[in-house]
Amino acid sequence: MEMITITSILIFGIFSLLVLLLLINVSSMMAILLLVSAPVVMVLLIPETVIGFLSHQHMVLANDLVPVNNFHILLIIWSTLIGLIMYTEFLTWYLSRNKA
Amino acid sequence: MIRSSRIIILLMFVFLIFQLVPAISAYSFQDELIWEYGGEYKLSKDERAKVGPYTIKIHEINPGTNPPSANVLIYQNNVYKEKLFFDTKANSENTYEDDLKIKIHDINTNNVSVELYRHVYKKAWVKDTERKGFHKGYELKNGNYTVQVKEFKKKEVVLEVSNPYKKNIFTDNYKEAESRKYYNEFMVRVASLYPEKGVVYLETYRPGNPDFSIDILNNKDSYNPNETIEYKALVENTGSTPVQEVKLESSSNTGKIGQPVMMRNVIDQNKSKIFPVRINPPNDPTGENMVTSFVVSGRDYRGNTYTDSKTVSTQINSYMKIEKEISKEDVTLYREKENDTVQVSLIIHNMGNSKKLVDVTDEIPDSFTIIGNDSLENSLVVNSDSTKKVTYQVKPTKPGRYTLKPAVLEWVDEGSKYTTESSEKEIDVHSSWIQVDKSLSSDSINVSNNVEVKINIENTGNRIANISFTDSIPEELNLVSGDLQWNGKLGPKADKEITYTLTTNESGRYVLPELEVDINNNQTKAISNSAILYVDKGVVTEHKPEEPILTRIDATKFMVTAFMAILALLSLAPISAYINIKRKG
Repeated sequence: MEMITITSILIFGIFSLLVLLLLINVSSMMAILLLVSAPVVMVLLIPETVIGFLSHQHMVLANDLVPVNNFHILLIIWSTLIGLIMYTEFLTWYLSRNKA
Repeated sequence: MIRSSRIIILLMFVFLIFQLVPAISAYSFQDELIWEYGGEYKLSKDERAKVGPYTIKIHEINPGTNPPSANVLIYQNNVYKEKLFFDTKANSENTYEDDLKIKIHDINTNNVSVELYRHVYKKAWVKDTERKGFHKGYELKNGNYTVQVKEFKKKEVVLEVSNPYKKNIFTDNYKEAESRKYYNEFMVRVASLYPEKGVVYLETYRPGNPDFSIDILNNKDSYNPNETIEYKALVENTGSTPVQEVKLESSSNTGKIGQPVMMRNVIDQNKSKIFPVRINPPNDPTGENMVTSFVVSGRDYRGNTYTDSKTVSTQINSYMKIEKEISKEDVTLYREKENDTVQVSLIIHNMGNSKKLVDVTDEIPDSFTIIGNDSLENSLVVNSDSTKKVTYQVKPTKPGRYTLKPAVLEWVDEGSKYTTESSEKEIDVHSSWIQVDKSLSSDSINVSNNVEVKINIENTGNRIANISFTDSIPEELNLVSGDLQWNGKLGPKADKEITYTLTTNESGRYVLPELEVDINNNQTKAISNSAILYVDKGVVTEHKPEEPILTRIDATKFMVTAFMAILALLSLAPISAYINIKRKG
């Protein structure tokens, strides 16, 4: 396994864990904010490194038609975590409404 | 009167001596009186045969009698002597004066087969012990024979001749020069006798033997079928006594021998005779090996037979033959007043018995061209025992050593197809041979830059060449230096490089045309390749440092947009649920 692949797994793993910790321990808003701000801030601070990292291609699927790079992985993590946060917030609201 | 009578007596005495000398000299102690074979004849009535001084003539043939008979007349020195009666049984052999023997083999209606012999002295004894002196009591040994000197008498010597394997012991008195034979196998001769000194010089003799050898003098490796072969068979008697009734029998596996049996009466010792044997060779379409055997036989005076044989083998060629001839073997091209064409002649011989329709096919090297309407394939009829000629002209075009391959002759004999080939011929073609190459120092230049054009001329031939050329260039190109023209001489295996420089102010693709080089005053040409030149405008492209494909702004915009889109998308369901709950609640 290449170094960049291991690095990618670590970065995206830590990033996801941090967002989930914020969601559980702090609030959904803080989790959403971290989710969007962390990559954007990093791009603004060190654009070449981050764009290079995000542009790194891990594999090409479906007979060289579908390339998979870190951008795609970031979008998948975003989709997953946004979904989690949104439905956590909705269910929390829904359940707390009956109590009230 | 007395004087004349003396002269007559003297003349008679001289005549007597002349008569006696041959008679004395004809006989030697080494000779034997033998019946020498005089030949075999088939004689019709009134026909004659001659042997020595004798002539025989068939006077009368009586084939109806039993047995058939004939009367033969004998002439000696053409004078009639006697009439002899012969038949095929008891009276088949007769002699005349113990000098001429006549043997009748056969008598039929038309002729009599007769064999003649003459009584002659022939050398039969050969010296075996050289002359040597002996005293009384001495012995001479030769084989099993012992000769002992017993005693000397007045003008005589007594010799005892003994052989342990023979019964008798002979004691004989010998005078000087006297000789005696014992059992017809041993002869003692007193060469010299000195009774007063008590010495006798003796020689011994033994019967000699003939010895045959046969050799064929003129055998060639091959013969044509239409020529009569005449072998010269040399029969040599290398023995010590003559051989008689020499018979040469010739046989051949395929050839036809004119006279298969040839006879000679006698070949004396150390003499030879040549038998000319004529053979008509076979007429075969493919040719064949003809083997001819010669057997020579003869007998000595005692009747012993001697033979020798020889076999010769020779190749008989096919009755069809094709030969290739060329008018010259050295050709120099491109020389004024010199004909550089070669005439090739194909000569077809039909040595067979019938006329033949033949196809003649020839081929020439690739660099040769055939002149006019001449063809390399011809059909023609060649009559029996005649020759026809096919000619054509070719012109070489390139120097080198060439082999003209064999011409092929094809014909049909009794339904089968046969071919034969001529020999190959070599031709040396001398000429210059020019190769021209045009090349550029660079295939592409920028406008206003120079390009160098190289013209390489190489003479790979073996003669000097006079060369001249004028090159041409496209109008858009300008000559900067050098010359578009050149003329000069180029030796064999030499080369020459001519260069000129071009430039242009217009970009584009330019074809520098093929260069046509005149050789030896326009006698021939050599053409180079063409060259292509690309001329660019000369735009200089500056080098910029590479930038990332995405700027930080682009990346941020993309990320924010993507995040918002996902958020909006995923929020649709909870927001819809929220609104629905609120409305109901």
